[in-house]
Amino acid sequence: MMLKVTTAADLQTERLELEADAVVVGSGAGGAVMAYELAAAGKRVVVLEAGPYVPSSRFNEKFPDMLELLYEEHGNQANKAGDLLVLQGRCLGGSTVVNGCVAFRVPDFILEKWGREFGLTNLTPESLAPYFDKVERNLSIHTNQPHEINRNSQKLQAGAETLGWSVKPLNRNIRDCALTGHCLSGCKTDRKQSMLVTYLPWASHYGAKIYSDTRVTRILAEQEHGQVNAQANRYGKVQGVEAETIDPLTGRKVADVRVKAPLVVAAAGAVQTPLLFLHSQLGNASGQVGRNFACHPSTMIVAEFAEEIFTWQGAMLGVYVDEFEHPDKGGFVLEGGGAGPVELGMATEPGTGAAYLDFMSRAKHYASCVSLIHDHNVGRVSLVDGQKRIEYAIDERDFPAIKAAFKAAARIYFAAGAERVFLPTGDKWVIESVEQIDAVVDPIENHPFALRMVSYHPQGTMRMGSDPARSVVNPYGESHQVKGLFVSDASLFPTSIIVNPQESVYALSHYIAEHILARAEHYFA
Amino acid sequence: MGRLEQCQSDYNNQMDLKPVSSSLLRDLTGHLQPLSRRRFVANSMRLLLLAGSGPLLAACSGPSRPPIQSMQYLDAGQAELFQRLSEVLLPTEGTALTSRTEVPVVANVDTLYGYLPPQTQADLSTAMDLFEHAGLVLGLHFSRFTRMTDSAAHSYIEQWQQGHSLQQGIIMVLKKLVYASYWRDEQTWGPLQFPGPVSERWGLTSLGETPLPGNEPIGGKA
Repeated sequence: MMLKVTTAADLQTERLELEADAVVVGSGAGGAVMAYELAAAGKRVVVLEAGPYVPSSRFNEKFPDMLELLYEEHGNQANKAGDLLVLQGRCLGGSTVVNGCVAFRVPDFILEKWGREFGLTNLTPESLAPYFDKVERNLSIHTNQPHEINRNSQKLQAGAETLGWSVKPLNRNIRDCALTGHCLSGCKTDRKQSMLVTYLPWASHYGAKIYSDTRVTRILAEQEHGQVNAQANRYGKVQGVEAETIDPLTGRKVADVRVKAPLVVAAAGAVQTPLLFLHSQLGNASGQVGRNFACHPSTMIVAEFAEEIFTWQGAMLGVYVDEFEHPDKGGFVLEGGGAGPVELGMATEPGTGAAYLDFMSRAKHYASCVSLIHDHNVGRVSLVDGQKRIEYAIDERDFPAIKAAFKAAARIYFAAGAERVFLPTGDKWVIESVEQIDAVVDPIENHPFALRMVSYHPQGTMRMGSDPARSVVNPYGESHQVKGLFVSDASLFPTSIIVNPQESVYALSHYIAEHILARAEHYFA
Repeated sequence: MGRLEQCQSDYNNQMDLKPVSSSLLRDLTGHLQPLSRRRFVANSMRLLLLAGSGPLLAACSGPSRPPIQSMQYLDAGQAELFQRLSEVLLPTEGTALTSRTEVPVVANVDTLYGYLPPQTQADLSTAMDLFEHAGLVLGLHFSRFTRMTDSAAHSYIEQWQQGHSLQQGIIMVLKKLVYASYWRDEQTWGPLQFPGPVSERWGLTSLGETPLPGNEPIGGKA
């Protein structure tokens, strides 16, 4: 069954005027859950998604093709320096369509930190548990079973167990996984419980109207004196949004769209949501919009074994090492993650020319894992001459965690019998034995292009907090300044959460939706 | 026409050097070489990149290559650079891997380049110019990259990879474009035993939309 979506090709008018109780900007983890919860409660909801609607029948399991079709900037979104690829879904369903299915609750110690440092005392493991429980039920989030742990992850597991380090099966939101290993290209047979097959059709069932190819250009707000003016950087009330529907094939504008609504939820992700606020010149009295960007850098460590591994076969992500998860123990996790030739071919490089081809020719012998760290919020998303700019460099405080992750991964792989370990560095760094680990890793210095990094989980640019001077939105996701203007995506996180964020966004969005509905007369009267 | 004049004529015909931003030039020349050589490097780079001319004999070094057509996005010089890079980076001859010549690497680079935002294209274009011509004044190569011998070109790439972070950045981006353009071709997967798409081959059926769940409110705890 095709999801009911109005695309650019469907529009017969150059000007579309809509009225709703709530307009949701973005259809990923935050937007889809919000749309469903509000629609199920009887609210008239409009969802505006900038990306195209790509039904799963068009997913061809070829990663380069899908990068170009489903990802922001065709998979080329990067920081200003060019040494960090920021991969986000840009399609109906957002990043939930192209992620690796890994699902975590926010770690308790992160919530404690949020309460202590940002006044988010309302967000506790206990208060959020019912929301996590519900999204876990709805999205078939379960712990990987033995058949979902492929040879790649078995190596990580075996090595960690040999060292006596904690290693666990990952939780994933998937039904009857077909073990194709093509998660990052979208799930062709709809086993991944992305928003495309869950919350969006459920929202549609309750009457939510979904528009793809429609980019919101401005949030409209009414100032205290009653004038609709996007220049309001003061207290006011949201009025709706303006948007443009663009033909994804030609890039030409098809229609101007205006949605009048007393509630606007920005859920366009940690890069686009702050840009929308900045474009709208709204809600930034604190000056924090776009600041505090944490890219949650991911690097891939590759290990060569004598036997064949076929890292790309089976469930893409199987187990993770959480021995060092707490910042006091290192502040990083290692996830057994597979990779195809394109990803492997760019993850590391032990030499130029023949050396590189020799490395690639033995691809079936490699195991791979990705490291994730609890990075500091040192980056920024901003508008410069009207254009997006992402600034992020690994902070000196975070570099030791990255190097510690390299060392831990190398120890694990050698304990599992690896012959050598390749590091994800700009230069050629190969570890030939466990005795070499420190000697190889210690000299690695922090500078641009030192690492081959990817950000799969950008977060933190619309900081949530109780202090209006230090945050953009309050502890329930509402702008400190503009009544009825909410944020519901990973940009809310006041710090990075170490682990994959999708489940936390689902739960937080659900939490915020319930807050809105509990005060319906306040927003919808 | 004498050899020097012929070289100049050929060079000018083939070159379409673009002005380099002063900040990039400052950054590059400030770091490409040890302090003692900075002034020499800076002056040389200016001569090369701003005046649009260079050491003519050096430009003529190495064997001449058959002309390469411009592509949809890459001009002829850029296409030639990627052609040469693919030859040096992907020496598939004598390996079990798919021959580089069977894969439209440069055409694939052209497609990828076309997807980049205009500013990124402009920056990359400048980076390509620097990489192509810096060998005329740096590292005793005295040659444009596309005119270097295989061993010199290999050595030049390695120097950039181990050089200043700006050099590392440029060569990493160029390499990634070449590698992605090679490995994206399905013909290259067989020798690695990478199966590519499997769902249709395995006869997998879509599970479709997930049935609507019950939706009891949590209970006003928010």
